[in-house]
Amino acid sequence: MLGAELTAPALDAAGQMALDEAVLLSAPVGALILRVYLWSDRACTFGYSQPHRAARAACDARGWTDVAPVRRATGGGIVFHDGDVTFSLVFPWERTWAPDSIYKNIHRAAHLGLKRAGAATFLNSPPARPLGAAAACFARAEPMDLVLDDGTKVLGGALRKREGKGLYQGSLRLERLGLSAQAAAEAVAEGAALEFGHAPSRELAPEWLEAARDLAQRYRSRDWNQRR
Amino acid sequence: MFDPKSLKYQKSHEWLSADGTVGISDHAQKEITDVVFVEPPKVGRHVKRGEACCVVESVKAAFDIYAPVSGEIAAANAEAGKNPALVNQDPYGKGWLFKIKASAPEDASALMSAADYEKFIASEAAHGSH
Repeated sequence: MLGAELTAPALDAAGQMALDEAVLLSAPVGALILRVYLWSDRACTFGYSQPHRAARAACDARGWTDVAPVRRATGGGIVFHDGDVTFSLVFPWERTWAPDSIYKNIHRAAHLGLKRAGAATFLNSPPARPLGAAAACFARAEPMDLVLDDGTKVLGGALRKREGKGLYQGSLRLERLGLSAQAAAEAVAEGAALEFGHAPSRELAPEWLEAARDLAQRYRSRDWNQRR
Repeated sequence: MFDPKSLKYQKSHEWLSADGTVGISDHAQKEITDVVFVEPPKVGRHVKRGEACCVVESVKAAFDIYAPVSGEIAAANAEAGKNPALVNQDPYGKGWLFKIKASAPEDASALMSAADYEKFIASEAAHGSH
């Protein structure tokens, strides 16, 4: 047991996205830093390149008319954060640009940890990559996503590469895993230690928290969220 | 289309032509797979060498693209914005990203030649995945 605890207190979507980006920007190159977190309220995030109107419409269709979707720095699709555990990993990303190899490493880490916790998952390995991109993250399983034996997607992620560092943000659905949020958080941390050969740091420097407070204003702004 | 052998390269896999055109290398576009989005910099923006000024996204992964030299953004490839697959299909031609008017042309001397870039990506491959 690594003492992996969920981030406390839970933050809103802008606060969590800002803290993830602050860690990406501020952590030293070579660092491996894991955050596993919950949300202060239901939240919706959407991919860096996606149009705001798509996320807005998805929220409205779900009846989440009071939820303001927040644009992520990472790619990927629309994610509804209700009943998931979200985790982020800042990691060294220097030599290759290939995202599939990154997803494989990180999702294998989650797979290993979940297996130890008694939840069987599999790395999705379709014979061919599906065409195009799905608007919603959990609309379909992409290569290297974690799925159950019936193909149900339980872990999807998104990436941002900046200089020699990467930010991974993943959403782990708990409904069918039979794990509590705390157990899932511990599983992710233990899996990362197994996969990467050492436990990721969980420490956040005070200056990163300060930077996140500034960045959160941007994540709350119309300029950012409705930039396209 | 530019001859890849005539270009200069950064370690972050951008190429620069003699006329200031910037794109990403064939090696990079193959690694990131299908490009689904290009956000070029605004024309007129002043950038410093090594500054992130453009974003390219493949499936679920967004990549910052860095200015290879300091200067002013003179043009952005609107066609690549409309059809991001051009970056995969023609990385040294229609898939260019932006043009930069260098304020310090000597910056380019710090970039790699095509031969050195080939050695660089071979050494990256030899060192493993990431």
